[in-house]
Amino acid sequence: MVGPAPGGRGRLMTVVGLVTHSGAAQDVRRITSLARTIDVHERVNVTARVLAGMAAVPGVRVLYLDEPTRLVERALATLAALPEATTIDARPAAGAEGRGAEQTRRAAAALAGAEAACVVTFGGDGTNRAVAAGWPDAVIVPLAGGTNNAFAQPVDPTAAGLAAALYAEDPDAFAAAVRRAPRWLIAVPGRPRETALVDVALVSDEWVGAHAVWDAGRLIEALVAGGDPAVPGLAGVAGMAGPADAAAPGVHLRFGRPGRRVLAPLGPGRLTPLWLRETRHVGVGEPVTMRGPGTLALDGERELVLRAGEEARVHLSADGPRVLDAAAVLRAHARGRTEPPETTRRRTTTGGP
Amino acid sequence: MPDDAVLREMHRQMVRSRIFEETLVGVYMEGKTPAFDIAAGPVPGEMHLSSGQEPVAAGVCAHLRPTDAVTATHRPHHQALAHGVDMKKMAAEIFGKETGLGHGKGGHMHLFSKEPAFGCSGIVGEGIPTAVGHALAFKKMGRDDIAVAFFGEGAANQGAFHESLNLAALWGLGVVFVCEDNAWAISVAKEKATAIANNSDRAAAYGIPGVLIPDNDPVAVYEAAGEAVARARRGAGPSLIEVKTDRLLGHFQGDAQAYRTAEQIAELEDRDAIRTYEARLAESGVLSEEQAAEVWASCRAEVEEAIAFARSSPAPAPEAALEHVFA
Repeated sequence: MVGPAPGGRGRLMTVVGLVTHSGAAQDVRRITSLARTIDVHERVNVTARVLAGMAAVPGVRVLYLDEPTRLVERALATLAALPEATTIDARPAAGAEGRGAEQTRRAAAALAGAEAACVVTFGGDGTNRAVAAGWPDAVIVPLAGGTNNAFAQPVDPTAAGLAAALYAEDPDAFAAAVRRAPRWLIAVPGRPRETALVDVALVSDEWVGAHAVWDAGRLIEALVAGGDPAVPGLAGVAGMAGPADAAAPGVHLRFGRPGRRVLAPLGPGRLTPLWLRETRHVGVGEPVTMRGPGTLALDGERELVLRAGEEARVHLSADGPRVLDAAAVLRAHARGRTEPPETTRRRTTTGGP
Repeated sequence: MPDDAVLREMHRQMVRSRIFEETLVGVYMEGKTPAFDIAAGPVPGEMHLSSGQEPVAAGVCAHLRPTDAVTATHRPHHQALAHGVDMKKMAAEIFGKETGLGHGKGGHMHLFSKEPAFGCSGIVGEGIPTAVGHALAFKKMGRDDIAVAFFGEGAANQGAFHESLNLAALWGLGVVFVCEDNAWAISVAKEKATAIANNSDRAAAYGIPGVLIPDNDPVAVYEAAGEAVARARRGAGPSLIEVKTDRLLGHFQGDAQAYRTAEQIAELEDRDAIRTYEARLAESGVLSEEQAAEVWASCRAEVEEAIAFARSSPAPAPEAALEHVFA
């Protein structure tokens, strides 16, 4: 077990959230691209590895999203079956009824209500969007469990769990490892306000259908926060077209000919030629109007159908959720301690004291 | 994304299947006192209806040719109709009449048609390897026709499912495996019998794409099926699509459904896929209320004609009992 963080305040209860999404990485892009399939056994395995990391910090309580697949319960059983079982106080977040994204939003709100210090997410960009919708000020450790994973950070699951628990034990000690992410705010008259963490795209489909966006020919325009040529999806397109900078952290892409031809990773394993009529940077607070007919895809998933004449007002906000850099936490922790972590053998329980 | 004509046609196919089955319920129960007296009345035998599952058949079959082979289950009406099986001959077969698809020898669980190519069986999982056989034949013959196997989530726990996916993957056959997960295998809840939540996961074991459609939406099914059918037709191999769908009625007609609550059933009815879809079509301007009413009326007339044809058709002659059967 890992000892207390430097400067730890010995709080009575250290609460960490865990949100897993079993439906991520299962859409039609398994056929249309080289998107990976993450089966339930791999999801349970990753979840167990996260819990193992969390369990290394004494006194941690994990509140988790009890989704229909029961990934966390199965992960706890996996940990309990190991030769050296591990104890962790894990229980479902109260009040997280519903299905899909709605259930995730409610779970995130419940985590906020329970004063969780942070939440580890294992899902796609849509999972993080739902968490941020339910808990706008969340501190997220996002693990890649979806198709494009533009919001996630590459980190070993156990390291993520350990870093989350260390942070929860003493957030002030690791404040430097937290950065604030931007988010897109989308307002359509007469509709509930929507948010997106990475991208907002207008596509020509007038139906939500299979949710995913995979046909470059249907892209009309897109707004992307940042842009990273190293990840697939619209973030990758923006990254190849001209990533944003600190002064103007958004990128506005208008697709179509005549324009500039860009070869970009629209999906896993798919470098797609795209024609860009316009690429420009967008500053925080600068409004952009997207007009129907079409469907707004939020973080890669068609969500909101705009009828002819309907307009969406979109702007980038700097007050998105916070992201915890797990590696930075572990580096800081390592610098603050000289003795090696202790190891003990304990039993796993699913309930807490 | 389907165009407006396809959106309307999927709606029509869903409605005609629903009306066909709603009409059949009334006819089937004639003379059955008690309800499980399955030999009585004009329609003998058991009756398994697919109300609620229409989006799956409509979304998949919209991509098929009559020469594509479809195999189905003991709950086959929506799939047969969506693939173009003649409604009159199908009704007559269900009534056990000489004019039926199988000269009245098969009944509602054994509907067979050469063109459109369709077959189903009362044996759970039977159609899955049969579809693989169809696809193997198409490949040997150099045809770009494909096979579609519809089956339930209960069948996915059988060996036939796994053996079929294995061979189809090994031989790169043009099969689209479509799992209709209605959450109930007769009266057994899926979570009581299946180690995993999503059968689409099982595709990974055979190295083929597995797609999950979580919301019983015909457009979502259409989009995924379109990609799977295109993949199969170009010789790139099989795919597995799982659709979370709803069985609005019991396992069979007369099933008291003691295994699920009235609230659970009401919840299913509240989210009836046809009504939901129809509302979306109206909202998007693809199908007005008047047009929808015309669809319901024309489908009702077609069904009434088919049922009347079945009622008035002759029963097979006793001396023909051994004709058109294998054993």
